[in-house]
Amino acid sequence: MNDIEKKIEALLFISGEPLEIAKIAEIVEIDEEQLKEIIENLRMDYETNNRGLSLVVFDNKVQLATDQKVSEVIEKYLQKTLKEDLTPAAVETLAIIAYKGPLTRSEIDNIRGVNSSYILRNLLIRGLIERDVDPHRANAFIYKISFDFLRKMGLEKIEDLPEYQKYHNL
Amino acid sequence: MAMMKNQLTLQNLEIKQEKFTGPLDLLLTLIEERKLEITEVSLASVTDTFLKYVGDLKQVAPEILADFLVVAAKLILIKSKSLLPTLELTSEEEAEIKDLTQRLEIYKLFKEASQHIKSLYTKNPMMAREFLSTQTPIFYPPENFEVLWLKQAFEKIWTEFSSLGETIVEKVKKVIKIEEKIKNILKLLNQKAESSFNQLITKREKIEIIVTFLALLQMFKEQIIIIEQEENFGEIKVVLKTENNFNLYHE
Repeated sequence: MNDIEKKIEALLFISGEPLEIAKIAEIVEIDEEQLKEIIENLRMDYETNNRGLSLVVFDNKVQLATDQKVSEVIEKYLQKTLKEDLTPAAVETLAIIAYKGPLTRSEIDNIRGVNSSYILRNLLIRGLIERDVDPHRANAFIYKISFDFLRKMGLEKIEDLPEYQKYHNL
Repeated sequence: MAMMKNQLTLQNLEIKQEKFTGPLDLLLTLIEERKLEITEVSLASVTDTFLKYVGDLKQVAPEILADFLVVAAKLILIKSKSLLPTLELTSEEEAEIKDLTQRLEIYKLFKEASQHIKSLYTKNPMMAREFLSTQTPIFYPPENFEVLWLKQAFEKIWTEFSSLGETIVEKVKKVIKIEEKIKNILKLLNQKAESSFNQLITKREKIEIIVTFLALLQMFKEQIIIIEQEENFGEIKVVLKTENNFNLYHE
């Protein structure tokens, strides 16, 4: 691990939260594109060396998290079970947002064939999705999955979803 | 009874659609139960069952019922076409039928994708350090801080606070919530199908007029009611929408 990687690892450890890649670039004084490569190396480093930690990278943010292979021991330590149920409507909506997102409510409604405002509100409250103002239309929102959701799925990046390309390109 | 139902739908919108997540889900299930491919012919063959299910859908929110009815209308068109081969459809109608089969295909794929989400969700999650939520607050005073400042700050607040006297307590009054108002309006409209803005206001206070107006706008947006005003500043007529629309397709 080189000096830059060490610094990034330390930053991610102390922050605990998803850190903006741009913010890290500013702190360690390095070019953003170059930083993205370093983060990818770091992520691979954790993966190939069978470590207890993993990097989660999504939406131009990075977070240090425990590896999914050790989830059982962490749950035991935190003394809480993280198993929770999703209703069929929640699963369906999450699948559309995860594979196809970010996308607008009308796009989600169109695929589901039914009004999704209540289920979206519910998923927002549970922190499983996030929304941003639509860059093309200021009076609409676009929905995307959250970091929390990605970690609950045990995924380091969204592309690791099974058959991601197949459904993403629909 | 009708009033009860409407209250239920407002509160338990997502919970109330128990079995199927939407009209496409119902349609796909019906087709797959019969081991059919998604074609016009198979859509025509499940139309009756679909319509029967929609007919039984009573405790569902108006906007969701509307989504079912849109699909029902298309199915009736497909069914009519299969029964009357001579029936000439407009190109727009043909496109609508094609659109339904295509959307059903796409929906089917996402339904498959949902299985991945279902099987991975919270199976082996990755945990992050919940650093900020467990961090103890730190007292972080400005430079040159003196204890005297605290005393001065407190005294300043205290003088302002005591000068306010009793007025604070008096200002707190019962305010009607829009949700409450919507419930009241629904109740009224269920007793008599038609009402007017002026009849809906009971106390004639400014706040009540505003809340009533907002409640009507919200109900209109949710397509629960129809609003009519024949002339500027004229009386606003309010009619319940749900049952009418529903019966149209049900008969």
